[in-house]
Amino acid sequence: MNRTADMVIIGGGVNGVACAYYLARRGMKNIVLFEKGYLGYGATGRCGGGIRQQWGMDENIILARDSVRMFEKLSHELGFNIFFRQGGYLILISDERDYDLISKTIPRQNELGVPAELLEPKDIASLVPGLNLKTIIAGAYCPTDGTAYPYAVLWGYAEAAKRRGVDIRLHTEVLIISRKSGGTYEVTTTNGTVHTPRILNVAGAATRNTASMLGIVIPTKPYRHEIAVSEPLKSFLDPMVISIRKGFYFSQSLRGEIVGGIGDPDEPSSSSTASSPEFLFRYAEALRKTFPALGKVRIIRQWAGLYDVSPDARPIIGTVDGVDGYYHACGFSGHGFMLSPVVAKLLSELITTGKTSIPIDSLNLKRFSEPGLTRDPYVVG
Amino acid sequence: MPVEKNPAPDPHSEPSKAVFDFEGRSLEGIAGEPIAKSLFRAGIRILSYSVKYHRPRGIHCGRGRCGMCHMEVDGIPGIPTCNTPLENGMKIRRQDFRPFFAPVLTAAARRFPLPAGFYYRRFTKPVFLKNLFMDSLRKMAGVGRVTLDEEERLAGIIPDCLGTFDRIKPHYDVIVVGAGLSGMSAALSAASSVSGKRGDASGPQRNEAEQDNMRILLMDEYPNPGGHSIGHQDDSGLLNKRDDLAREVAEHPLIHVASGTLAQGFYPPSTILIAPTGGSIASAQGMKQVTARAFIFATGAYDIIPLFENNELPGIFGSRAARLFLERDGYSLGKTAAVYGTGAELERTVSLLLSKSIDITAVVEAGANPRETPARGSVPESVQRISNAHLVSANGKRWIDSATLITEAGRGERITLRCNMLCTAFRGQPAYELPHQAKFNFSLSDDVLDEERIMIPDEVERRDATGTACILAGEAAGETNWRRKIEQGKEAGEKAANAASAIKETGEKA
Amino acid sequence: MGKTIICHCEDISIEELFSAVEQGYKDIESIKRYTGIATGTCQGKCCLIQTLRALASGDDRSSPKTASESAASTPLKGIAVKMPTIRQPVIPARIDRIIKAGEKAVKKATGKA
Repeated sequence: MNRTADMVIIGGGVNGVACAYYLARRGMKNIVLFEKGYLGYGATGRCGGGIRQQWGMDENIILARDSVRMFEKLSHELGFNIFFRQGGYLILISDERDYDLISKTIPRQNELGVPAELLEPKDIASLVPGLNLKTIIAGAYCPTDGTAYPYAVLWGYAEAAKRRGVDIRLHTEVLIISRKSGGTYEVTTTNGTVHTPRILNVAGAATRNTASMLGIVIPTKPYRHEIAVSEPLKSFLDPMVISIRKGFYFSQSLRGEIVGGIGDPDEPSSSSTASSPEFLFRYAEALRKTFPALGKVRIIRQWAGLYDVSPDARPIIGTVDGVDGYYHACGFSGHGFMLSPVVAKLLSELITTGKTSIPIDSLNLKRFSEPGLTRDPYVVG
Repeated sequence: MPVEKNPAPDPHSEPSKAVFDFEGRSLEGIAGEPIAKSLFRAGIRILSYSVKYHRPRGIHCGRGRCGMCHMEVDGIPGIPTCNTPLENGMKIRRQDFRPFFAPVLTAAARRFPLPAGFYYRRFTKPVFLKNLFMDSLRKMAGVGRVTLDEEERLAGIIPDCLGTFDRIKPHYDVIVVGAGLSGMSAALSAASSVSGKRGDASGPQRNEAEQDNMRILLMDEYPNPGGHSIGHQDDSGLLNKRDDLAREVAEHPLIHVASGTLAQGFYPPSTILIAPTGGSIASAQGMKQVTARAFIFATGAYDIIPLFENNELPGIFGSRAARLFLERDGYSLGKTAAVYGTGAELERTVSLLLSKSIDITAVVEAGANPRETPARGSVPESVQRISNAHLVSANGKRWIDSATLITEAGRGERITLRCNMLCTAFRGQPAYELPHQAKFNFSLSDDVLDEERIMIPDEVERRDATGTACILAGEAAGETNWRRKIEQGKEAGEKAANAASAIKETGEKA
Repeated sequence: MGKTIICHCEDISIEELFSAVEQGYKDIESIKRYTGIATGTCQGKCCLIQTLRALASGDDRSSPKTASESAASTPLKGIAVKMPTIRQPVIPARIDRIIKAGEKAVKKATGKA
């Protein structure tokens, strides 16, 4: 392969294929996407599939809200059922500090069009029978949050993108990117070289390494997060249940499996995706405590993926000053899948028109060279 | 040390009756025998139904692996009834919780086969139809159910770690997983190669200090060592050797024999997660993490049922499962068997079935070019043999009643054999879980006969950066000859002991 | 009846396997997730090897014949015929048994049951 392209996308995760689709829909031709493994080999294929709008900062609430509006129409648009099910998100609150924060945030979420509400323990009991409410003082619930099957979202976008002419190259790793005179880039891969005026770098936890090929410094760090899945059970659990404080979550997939995980505050940064027995013990204990009847259920599989965590746990999206034709989106800190439709659409606007319909300047990389970072208190993990 | 029989019932004690409830019927069985055996005796042979086509499923692998015998027992979903002991008063039921519209969808799915992934592509619009479709799929999905009435019944129970499991230490020089011929041989050779102080005492009166001396852990998920060499064998040499090895490992002062202990996962570089097997379903037994400097995976091989029509019909199982039912559990699932296979495994299986007075309709030798054509052994000439045939289907509604094959490797005439048991006997698939977790690569063997193709490890020994060695032995390494298994175990044991002492020396220098 | 089921946990027939390949899902990890093969309770212990054999022998879907007849073309070799990642636990582990055996015993000693 030795060729030119109008656009090179690095990363076959949900952001890469979705952006390829939106760019093609906007009329861009000759788009090539490189994925080093199979589609979803990285974080998309390893994530829990949760989609929530309950956030603390306006920017996250707005992005997530618009993302949900897109997810609602996506199966229809792509002709591919992404199994987006709006079973809601139930945030369990077990201390006063969280209660204060969440009860103050809900009015703002409502103003922005997110129908979140505060629940008393008795409401939680009727919403999710079987939860152990001994230490729970309240809950926050948004009925339009939900889950989708990450692979289906990925395949749906990928197939739609291919139909519009996008060239998706699997098992192809980008090795070198160099800038050539005339403002083009030479992208050398394990399967040949491509010349292009534009690059979109959406390689998940590897985005940082890819950016460094162009001398761009991205201050994100990879952190391993583990997930386990149970045998398939008859459906009994509607919402995704999470505890922000413990970094713990679980939901029931459409296939009936309980999918969940729990963060480890002591986890050091690393690129390891090895599973650990410690996670199994921690997760099983949290699940037994939160939902005692699940003690009888069996775990059939555990795995791990990488969160690409930025210093303020907010995504890094946009351009880089002085590097024309280069775009990136990374640092999603564990929330990339749920934001992907809107992020991909905004990136496609930015790439084709230079403007975005929702302002994302606050998410530019340059914020890290300015004083003061704001962190969203609703970040899990 | 004496091999402590973990939770499994003592076969020599008086059998005690157990009364249990099966879907509202009161039935009687023997306490301690596999639940599936009691059900089988009571005439219950269908243990589950498949999720999509609602096909009947019966006991199949005998090892709690395949899921076909999973039932709800005392409100606990997914209990493998093939190897879970029956207890008095158990409430047992099939996990067949279908929504009212399921029969319609099942009938449609059987009638109009849909391509893979149809559920991604159909009914994506309009919205009401999409939602109805997803809701229906959701109601169809899942097998077991979660019952909420017995809150915290099991939560917080103190793990009752039984016998030998309780005394397993957190670290050993060498861990051998699997106490078959190669595993026992590996443990012995590792024990004679490890440097350092030997314990003095042997026999049953061992104190804690002597436990501390044990440097090698030999674990097996079954209550007794021997792996698949249990029970009837044509070769008395094998049986004598097996018994010798079992005695030697039991008496060796450096070897800790942990029976009834399952390896649940290998976590590189050097941790193995173990759990006790058996015991009451109500107990919360707990797990342990154990580390070592070297590991030997002598985990044997699985049955792989070849692909033919209805290959999962109740009454069909592999030769290793047949051995478990006949020898470990002491019952036969049928009276008239057809046996389909190749090579030594076929001959061994026929001989086993004959030793249990099971009629053999025919011995069917698969394909034109099998991997090995061994001596016919002790199988009498009177048993009908069909060579170079290809099995195309199993027939029967709820249990197999015949099998159809085509001679001349699928080009000749069609023959239907009446049988109520079909046993497939091929070279086993090396158990790949732990080796794969230890980063071994596998490739598909290039045997001519499809039924004989298995994933074989590319190498039998790996060392990681820390020097921790993982070595494969026996059937897990693809070896099928019992003498060579023992030899291979011996070599593996030496290598493991050397790797362990190399790491130790490095550690001491540092 | 009359079906060749390749994955009995998820009830997937051999036709469905080949249809996934035809639809462009060509590596074992994608095939697994697209069809559901090897993602059920047994996690592939009963179906993975058959799947790999079937993929290696080509697309003779009417009846999986002996390899001698279909070994001629192995279009998917190298991509599909590869062991997917085998995860822990080896067999399903009940959540109330995923307890550290030692630790709870300590709690028992301190009187907390």
